[in-house]
Amino acid sequence: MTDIPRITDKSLDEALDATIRTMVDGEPSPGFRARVVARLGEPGRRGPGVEWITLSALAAAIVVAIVLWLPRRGVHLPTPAPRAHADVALARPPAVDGERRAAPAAIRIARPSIDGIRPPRRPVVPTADAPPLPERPSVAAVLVVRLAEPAAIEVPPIGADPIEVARLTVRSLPAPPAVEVGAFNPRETRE
Amino acid sequence: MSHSGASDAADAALVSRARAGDVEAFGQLVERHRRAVYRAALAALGSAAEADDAAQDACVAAFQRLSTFRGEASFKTWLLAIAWRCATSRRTRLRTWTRRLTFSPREDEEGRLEQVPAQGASAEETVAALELQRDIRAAIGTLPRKLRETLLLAGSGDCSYEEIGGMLEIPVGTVKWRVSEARRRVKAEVVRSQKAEDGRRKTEDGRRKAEGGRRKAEGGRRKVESKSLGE
Repeated sequence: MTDIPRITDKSLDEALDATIRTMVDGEPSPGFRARVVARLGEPGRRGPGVEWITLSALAAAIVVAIVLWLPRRGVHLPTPAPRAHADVALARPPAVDGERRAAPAAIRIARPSIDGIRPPRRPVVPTADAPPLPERPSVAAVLVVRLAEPAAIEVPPIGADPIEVARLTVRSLPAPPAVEVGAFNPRETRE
Repeated sequence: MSHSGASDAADAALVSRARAGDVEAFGQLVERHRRAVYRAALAALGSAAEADDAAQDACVAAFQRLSTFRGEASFKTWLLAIAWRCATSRRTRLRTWTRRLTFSPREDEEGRLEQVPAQGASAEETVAALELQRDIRAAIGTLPRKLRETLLLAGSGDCSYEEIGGMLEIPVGTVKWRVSEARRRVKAEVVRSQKAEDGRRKTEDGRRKAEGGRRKAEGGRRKVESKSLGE
């Protein structure tokens, strides 16, 4: 068996010092001073972050200018259509014993146009290539929810009649009934 | 006047001339402190080439900011602080510092490792010394960054604790504590890894012994069998 010499604290300190010296030992390359002196005459270089700061400020200024310029030109951005009304048609496939269950049908959501703004066209949910369901209304449960079309809201004219307030009367409250409290005896409670 | 005081006075005279536009005077300042600047950059970057570039940048930046030097600290401390900032910002910019700080042996360090064992040492002692150095390097690599940097700066021998404190902008007491704590952690880690290595070797030796015993028993069994067949 190999006999391993035990490391003493002193030898470990010496080894540590020697290792650190090897890690940070070294000299700058030859001609270091000449290169530095040659660079002293150069104009001060800007840091690498200056370009980014300039570009960021320029981009922000452009965005602000566009935002301020658009309303003056009369460009109105379309407001999103409200989601108040929708036609929802859900069709549940029939659950018939011995018959293959069909894939769920498509869910159609139709939105009426409001104020002439055409709602964004949404992609139709892809439906599975299911065979046409047999017409068996006794089995099929079809739910159709049709919400009302938007109706004009009529606001009645605001009346200007004076508000009449009934005469206020103050009555005294009836006196509360007397409450009798007996002496508390904890022994009775235990027993 | 002490050596440090004389050095500071000489630096002050050169700084005055450099401020007046004497490039040669600043060149002399660079010559006086180039090694310390380079080693500080090396402690931060771990790469000789990048440390050289960072040291150059630091010297040029120092010349450009020479008017801001107020003489509250020595010129060397002021220059080292600039060098440290240049090196750390360079490290951040390059995004390679995580690889550098592991201090994997570089091409030129491989040669240095083999120079360390004393002359006349046996092969076993040489191997043990090299293994110890590798363990120490690995342990230094696992230190937290603040402890590692302070330990390397102090171990370079070019910076006093006061100068390190000026570079890192921490009190001298903190510098001393970091160096002491880093050394304690490194030594503990090295002892732990050496013990683990001892255990591994013992296990290996035991396995070899058992293998030898098994072969001996096998040989004895064959001899007995051959004898019985001969009879």
